[in-house]
Amino acid sequence: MTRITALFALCASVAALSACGIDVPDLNNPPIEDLRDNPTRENVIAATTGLIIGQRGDVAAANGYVAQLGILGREAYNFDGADPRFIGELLAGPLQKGSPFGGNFWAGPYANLHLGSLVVAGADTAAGFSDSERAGVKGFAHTMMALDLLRVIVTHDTVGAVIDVDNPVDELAPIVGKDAVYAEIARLLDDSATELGAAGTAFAFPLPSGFTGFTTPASFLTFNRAIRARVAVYTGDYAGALTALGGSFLDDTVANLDGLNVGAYYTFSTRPNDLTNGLVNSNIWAHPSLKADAQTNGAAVDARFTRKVRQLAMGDGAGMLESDLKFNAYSATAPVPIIRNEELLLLRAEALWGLNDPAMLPAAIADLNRVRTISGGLAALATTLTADQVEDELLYNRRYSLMFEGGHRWIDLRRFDRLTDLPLDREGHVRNQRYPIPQAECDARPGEPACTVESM
Amino acid sequence: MRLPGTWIGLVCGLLFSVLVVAPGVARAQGTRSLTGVVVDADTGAGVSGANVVVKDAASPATAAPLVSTGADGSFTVAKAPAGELTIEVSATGYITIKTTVRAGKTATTVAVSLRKELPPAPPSPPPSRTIAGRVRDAVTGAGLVGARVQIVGTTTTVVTDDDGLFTIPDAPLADVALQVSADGYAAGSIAAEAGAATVKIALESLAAGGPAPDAPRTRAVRGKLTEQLTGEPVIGAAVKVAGTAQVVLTDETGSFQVDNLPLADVVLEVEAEGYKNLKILALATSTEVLGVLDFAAQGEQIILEGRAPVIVRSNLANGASVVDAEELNRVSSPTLEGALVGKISGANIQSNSGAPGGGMQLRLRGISTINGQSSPLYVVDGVIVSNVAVPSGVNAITAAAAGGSASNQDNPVNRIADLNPNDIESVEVLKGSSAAALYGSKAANGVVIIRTKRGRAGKNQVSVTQRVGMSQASNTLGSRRFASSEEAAAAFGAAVASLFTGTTYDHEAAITQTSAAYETIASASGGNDKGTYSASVLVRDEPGVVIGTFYEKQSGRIGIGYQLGDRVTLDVGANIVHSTSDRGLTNNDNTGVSYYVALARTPSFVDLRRGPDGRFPDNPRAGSNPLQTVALFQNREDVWRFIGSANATVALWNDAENEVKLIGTSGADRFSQRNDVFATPELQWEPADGLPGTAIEGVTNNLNYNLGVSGIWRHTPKSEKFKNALSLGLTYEAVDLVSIYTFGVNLSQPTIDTATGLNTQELAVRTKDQGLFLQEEIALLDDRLSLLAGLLAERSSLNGNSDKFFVFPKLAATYELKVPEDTFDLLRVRGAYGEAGNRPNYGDKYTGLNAAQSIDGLPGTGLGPNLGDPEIEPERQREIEAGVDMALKDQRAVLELTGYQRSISNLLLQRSLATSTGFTTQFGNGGALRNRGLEAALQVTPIEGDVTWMTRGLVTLNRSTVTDLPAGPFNVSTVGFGAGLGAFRIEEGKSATQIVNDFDGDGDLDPVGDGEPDFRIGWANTVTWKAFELNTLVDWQHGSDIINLTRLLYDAGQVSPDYVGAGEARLEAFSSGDMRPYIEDASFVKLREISVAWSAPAKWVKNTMSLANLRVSLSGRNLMTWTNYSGLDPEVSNFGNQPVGRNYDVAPYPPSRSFWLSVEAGI
Repeated sequence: MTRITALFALCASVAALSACGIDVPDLNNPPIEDLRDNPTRENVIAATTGLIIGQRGDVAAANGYVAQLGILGREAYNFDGADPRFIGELLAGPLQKGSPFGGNFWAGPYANLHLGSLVVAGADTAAGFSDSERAGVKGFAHTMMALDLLRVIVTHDTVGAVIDVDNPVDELAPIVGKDAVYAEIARLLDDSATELGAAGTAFAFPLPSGFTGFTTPASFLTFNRAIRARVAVYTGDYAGALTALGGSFLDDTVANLDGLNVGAYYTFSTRPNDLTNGLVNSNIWAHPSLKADAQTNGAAVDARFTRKVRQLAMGDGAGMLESDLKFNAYSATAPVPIIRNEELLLLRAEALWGLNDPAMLPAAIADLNRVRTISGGLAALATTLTADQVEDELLYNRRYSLMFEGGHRWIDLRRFDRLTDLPLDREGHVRNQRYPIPQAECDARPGEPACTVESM
Repeated sequence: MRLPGTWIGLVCGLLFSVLVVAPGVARAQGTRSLTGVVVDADTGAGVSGANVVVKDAASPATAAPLVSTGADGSFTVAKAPAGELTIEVSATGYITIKTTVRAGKTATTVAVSLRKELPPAPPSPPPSRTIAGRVRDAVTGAGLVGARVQIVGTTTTVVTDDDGLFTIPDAPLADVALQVSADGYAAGSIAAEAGAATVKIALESLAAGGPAPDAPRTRAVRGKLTEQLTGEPVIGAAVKVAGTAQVVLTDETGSFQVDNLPLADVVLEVEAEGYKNLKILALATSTEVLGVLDFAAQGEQIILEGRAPVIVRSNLANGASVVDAEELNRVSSPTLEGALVGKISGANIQSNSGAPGGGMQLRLRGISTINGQSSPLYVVDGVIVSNVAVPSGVNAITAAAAGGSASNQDNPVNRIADLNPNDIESVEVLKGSSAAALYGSKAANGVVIIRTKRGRAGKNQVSVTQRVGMSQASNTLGSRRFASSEEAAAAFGAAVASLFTGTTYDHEAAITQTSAAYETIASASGGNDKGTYSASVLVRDEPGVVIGTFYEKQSGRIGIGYQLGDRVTLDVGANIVHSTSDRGLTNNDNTGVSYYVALARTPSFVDLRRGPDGRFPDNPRAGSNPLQTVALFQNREDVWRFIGSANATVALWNDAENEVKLIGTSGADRFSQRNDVFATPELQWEPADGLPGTAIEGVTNNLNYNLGVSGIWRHTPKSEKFKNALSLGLTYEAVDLVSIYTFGVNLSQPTIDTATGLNTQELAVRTKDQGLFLQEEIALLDDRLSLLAGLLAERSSLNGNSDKFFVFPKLAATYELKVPEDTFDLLRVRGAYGEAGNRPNYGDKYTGLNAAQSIDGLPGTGLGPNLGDPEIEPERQREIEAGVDMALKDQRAVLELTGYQRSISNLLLQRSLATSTGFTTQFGNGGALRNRGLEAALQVTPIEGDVTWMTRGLVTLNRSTVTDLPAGPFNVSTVGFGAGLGAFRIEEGKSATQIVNDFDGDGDLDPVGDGEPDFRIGWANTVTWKAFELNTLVDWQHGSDIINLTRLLYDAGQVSPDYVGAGEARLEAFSSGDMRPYIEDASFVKLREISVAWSAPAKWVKNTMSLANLRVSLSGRNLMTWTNYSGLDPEVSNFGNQPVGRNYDVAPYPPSRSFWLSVEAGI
């Protein structure tokens, strides 16, 4: 009996064990196939919000966009005892393609660009959207993609970038030059504008509080045009910039800081699974040159400096550097600007100056003065400044108005070919001009000329 | 007789001995002549060169001169004392035997059979009861032929043979009565109690008077059989007169009598179930013989059967290392791997940090994978147990994984640490893939088979061990001393220099402590013929060397073997473990909170001590005050774990030539881990983000379970020309792990529900594996040649196609050469080929969206960083190995040498992608890797005698090469901080563990180091003298480079002890991109273990202390380290267990040395 029972048990277990399937699904994440192959209204909307989240990801990290470009532009230091590369690589240079410093601002934006193209494709095919909603999703996605690509090119500049983000992983799209990248950004923004125009009166998706004032297709278009204006100024298309500014939320009637601060922001919070602002970091200090270079109005120092920076009794230092200045601007839940009215005024001033028409200078100076007086508490500039003086003032006011909020200082000096204005704190320090193509990208592109471009 | 060729191997660890003395007729007075023969207990072959000393038992000083045995094992002592004799026989490699020939006897011939050393475990109780007996004529005592013996109440009837003997093989394990009848005799009956193995019954002849006995032309020989280990009588053994059909059985006292023996030399062949066969030479003049039986070679723990070779385990053709309980526990170790260091050839065991509670990595035979699973498979009593390392979640505070760096820097414990080393009977490490193929696709990293202690039938044994210890930090980094405030100002500016008072503080000393530890272990075991038990409890309390850190463990275990009915044997075990620990805050961080990260920025003149108001000052130079951190920060871990196993063996068939067994195994390993991290708002770093207070609660539940059913058919034909075993079976294993973390900020209490900001994270792993195996094993030429072939087909849910079976074959052969006996004890060659796999990690086949994020309460999904491979397959490892085992004459030197080549193809790679594709890495198969290595073990006994010195060296040497990488080179993305700080780079034609850095700034990454050691040597020494035993274990690692980022941090903070000059020069090189000054040689020599033990004299212990035994030892672990490495410890891994890419030193937990005083008492 025992033998028979046991043999039976053996046979039964053989049958039982081999009969059932043992497949296990992904218990941690929704599969990409859901979005790529079976887009629905809901998952496309979730991915649309994901575009903002993804773009925000590296903005306010201690090693993120604002912080790193702030250090490169000598606005900030990071005295992180655990990572000497905040000084060794960013200030003493060169930026290294294999490090999370020099190799930055590539993977993140491209992941978001790829997500953006999934959103655009999903908006076309997912059931449950009206046509205007489809256009709204695409218009929003294209603006976000333009911002992602803009982050890549302002960091990598003449190195160039990839603009085709839909290629399979084993068929890499080429790295194209800076001009082609800016052209693609402009195209994305302009396509977006067209789509937003067809997007009806409301988006199908919610927007976070950082986009307050830009939550309808029409108002979002003014944000889109603001970015377009920045891109136009960066590419020297001053006339185009003025046109774009005309469609933007630029407001030159403002009388106080609140008016200057109108704009779109990346927001941070302590709500579940949200992100807090990593620029609140005890290692981040302001660059002493901010104090030294601040203009005064009588005894009063430029209010932008006193508002954004405070002096501590005891400073800190690392790598033979020291500072006793801290930024006030950020808390754990403080937003980081994407673009705001103050920048738009400065962009218009620059566009007017850039037309290279003396007749336009007074208008440029007028815009500068709005910013100087409201934001900086400084005296108005004389309307008789020369173009070169206006250039200096443009750079000065951009430096203090946009201080430590998006790498403007470093990008501006490079645009004006004046990186040599950046102070070198110590012998051996350098001025990095651009980020190299990251190691992993170069590994996949043997012989790629862009990979030989140095950061200095 | 062929001698040397038949000697059984040394390395297998199963060495036997048996003693037989056949006292003859003693002379009345003066001296007598004594002749005898010394034979090998296993083979019956004579042992030449054995030393025989015959002494007068009453006055040992009266001794006959020492004689040696001749080539056939025979010896003659011409003038032996006449009284009771003590005969001592020793031969190298055998257990020395002392026996007594009783006075008054006339023994003149003695047969001594020697057993090789190390007796194996006792046999499991016989599956069924056999009643043997003899039916005799009540008057003559002659056996009755053809008598019928029936168990009353059953139909079971047997008939006696020519000698009146009978055997009832399948008698129930209960009291029965036997009814006996024979023609011409009155029927009789006799009770056979459940415990009785033999019965004798004498029947009265119905014929009056009966036949008169013949005049004796024969003799009778009486004898007694006892068990080697316990001295207990062996009951029911069959004693057969060679060349005849005459058989007698031993009675309850183990005694037997053989009548009607011719007056000539005869050989008695003894057979008893569960014991090795024995041959006793009864010389023509002998009337009495003694036999000592040894347990049969076992190696048949039911747990291993089915998957492991079952015939001749000692002939395992692969490098297997066995470490026994004594070796493991000589010096107290908190964890199993710690106790294995330096004891296994081919193993590279390194600790990840000095934190209490372990965290060690065991790598066998080099680099087995790049991105696959890196832990060996741990099997405890047949249960595949979990060795996962679940992070504490402290990364939320350290932000170590921020900035694009890899995570897993939380310094977690790998959970094999929960096992109690004291519960372990033996650890067997199967290294070759051919051995590993036993476990198929999970075995590429080797298999560690752990057997916990089991009871033995016999007396209950209880022992208690109390250990008291002390541990202290064994190394410090030191800090630069500043001579003046000017020097301080030059380094840190005037503000910081204003703190300079001329006092230098030793911050490292201020965060460490010397602490007392204790460990109490109690165990009991015993059993009878129906079942055995073993139970133990352990309580261990071990504070860490950093203030506030500790590791506490309580463990209880019970193992029971039970005979259920005739055919079924059950073996169940249960182990429950509770451990709690606090591992402090070490390793990399980006917020300045890890102790040594903060110290790297803290000049030694800054006073960090607690002020009179009870508060700690803020550290003006760093984000945290380490003195405050050790005092206030909590990083608690609490684990409950249960490991249970139940195994059953069913004997399906048994006859003279065949044995069929069915084996069922099942096991479960369940643990629940809770992590509680609390950073109180008072901590310096907490208010920095405006959200003071951080709490992290992690809850992890894990269940591993496995089921198996297998059958074994063993066949040995009557001719015994070969032995054969065929196994077939099925296995199923599953893992289910879920970790849920809740991160709370802005809170005042260590309870997470006071937090105003919350994040959650869930991580789940679920795997299912199923396998089918077939194995054929054959032993030929008296077991000298053994061949084994097996196939394992497995499918796994981790593979892209979970329905596809992957087949892993293995082949192995060993051959024992016939060698000149005067040169060698043993010479054996072995070779094996096998394939094993390494499954993908969970999730490798999926491309997931990242849905665990939100903005302003709006959920959003983003792209995950990894591109999965829906077609992913296991890696395939093909290993060929060859080895030779050699023992020189008298075992003075024993050498094991193994060479291997492992080729791993279809590598599991997490390839870095061009990130413009939107993905950072891609999982997939591709490329190949090769390891070549040598393992050698050499044991020499230079001194033997009053003082015995045994020394043993293990050499491990491995070289890896990436032989194929179609997708091009890439940096290992799971570890490291980018090539600027040194990266591990996988590149065709290069070592798999090369470290690269663009030190010359030409844009190309150049090799600057290699993580793999050139070689490792473990050197153990044992010196015994009287009751004292000294043991030492030295562990030498040569080569292996470490990326010493701690030193870089200290240099960057300008506080390295040698900063002025040397540190500045290093920093100068670093600032130009040259990482080489921080890539250091990690060679070291460590005095791992040293112990001195004293065993109290048995008599004194028994009479004075009323104890069975008493042993006192003084021991130390990691007492000394000799190294040029500048960091705290050359054994370190910031990223925990990593197949490639250990060897990052970032602010680790400091190493410790410990001392223990142990008292072990048997009750």
